Amino acid sequence: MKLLRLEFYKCRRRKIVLVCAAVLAVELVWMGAFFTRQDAEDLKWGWMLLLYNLATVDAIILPLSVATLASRSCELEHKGSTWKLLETMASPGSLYAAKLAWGALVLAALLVLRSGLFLAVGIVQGFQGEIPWGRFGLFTLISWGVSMMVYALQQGLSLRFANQAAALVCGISGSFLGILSMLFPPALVRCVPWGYYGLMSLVFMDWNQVTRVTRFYWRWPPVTDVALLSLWGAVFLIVGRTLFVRKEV
Amino acid sequence: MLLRCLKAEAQKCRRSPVWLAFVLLPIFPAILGTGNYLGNIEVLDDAWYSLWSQHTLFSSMFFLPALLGVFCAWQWRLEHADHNWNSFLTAPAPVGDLYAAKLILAAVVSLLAQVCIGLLFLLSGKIVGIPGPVPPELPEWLLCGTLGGVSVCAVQLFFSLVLRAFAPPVAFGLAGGIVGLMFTAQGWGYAFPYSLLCLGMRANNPQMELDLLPFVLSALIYTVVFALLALRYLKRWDIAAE
Repeated sequence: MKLLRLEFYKCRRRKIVLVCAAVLAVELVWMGAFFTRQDAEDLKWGWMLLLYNLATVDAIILPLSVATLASRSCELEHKGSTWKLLETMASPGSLYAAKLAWGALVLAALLVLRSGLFLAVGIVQGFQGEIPWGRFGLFTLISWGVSMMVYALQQGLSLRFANQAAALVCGISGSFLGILSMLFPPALVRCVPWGYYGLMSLVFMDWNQVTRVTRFYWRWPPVTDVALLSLWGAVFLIVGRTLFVRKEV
Repeated sequence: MLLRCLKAEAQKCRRSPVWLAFVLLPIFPAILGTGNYLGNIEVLDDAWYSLWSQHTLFSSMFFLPALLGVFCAWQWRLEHADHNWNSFLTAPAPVGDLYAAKLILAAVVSLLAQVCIGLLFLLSGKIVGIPGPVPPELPEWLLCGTLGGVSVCAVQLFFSLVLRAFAPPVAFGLAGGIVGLMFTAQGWGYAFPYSLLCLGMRANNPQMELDLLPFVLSALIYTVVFALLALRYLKRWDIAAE
């Protein structure tokens, strides 16, 4: 707990709030631009359209944002060459856990705020139908779960390599593969960690080629996908932690 | 002196694998773009031109600006780390030359990225067996893409200099690419540096006639303005070495 408090203390001037605000601003601008281009026919899908597009926007924006947050938290230790000092006072394992817990809390705050913001936008815009409180909550949880899996990967890279270019290039590839994986065959999407943003979406689209009509529908993420997501997260966590714990400082 | 600075910058890059990202990462969009082209071949009936749009559509908007951002952030990271600001600013060389060397190197990397994209495009087209000759406009697309890339580099170099951190300017690059997409959609592409990259490459529309004068002028203005801003910062601000 003390180590976790220290993580927040270390990051107090690292403009984490600004990074999170920038993520929210880009998502808002993107969704704003998207909704102003929709006609009344599309807008009748309201909440479904919002959650469907939010999952797509997440797949592009969150991988690099998560990489940025992980890098902000880990870079400071490399810069200050603090490893020797830190590891004489605390075990590497608990340091790793404190940094991961810091990421989990920051991401949770960011995503809860994001959901609240878009809920407010939907209510103000007067989207049709009942407000899907439960689904919004679940969507936030899923976004957080996928982001934590990506965070475990990014933290492993940011801790392993002092040069943050490696972690950031991985983040960029993630953003790119995240969006492009939506075009992959289903079996292949499950092999791309960043593809889970789209894969676990609560809303799916059905486009009828003959009538050229688009239809959205709710769906629950399959249990196998949740299990695979947990598996990816566990692998990144164990590998990242082992590499960090065994690293010579 | 500029040549010496350039040599020093090139030496700093020696043995660093950062250039590898520009050679290896374009392989993803090439494979995916070709796959997408083959999957929708009945709609995409404009042979080489359709393949180009599939190769460059996403990469020029989300991928290249952030990748150029990584290189620019990496260039300043060398100075931000290990008290290097002290030796950088007390080197017997004008600050303008020191900065110009970094910008020129970034321009070379931007060209390298375009050459890789071009080669992968030709290779994919040949493997897929696209009939007809290769578009004669290809060198122009790549050169204009490089020019757009240079203005992105000038902006990124400035932010990486001021922000003194690695990750935020890179994220800024991705955000710039996304905002650039909106500027292009509104028809204001010539007014925004990140849009110049995809306009130059004709990412969305290979048949588009590029208005060369506003394009070059805009790229030049952004490059010069951000270079001047960076120089002003270097000359006026106290660079406390960390």
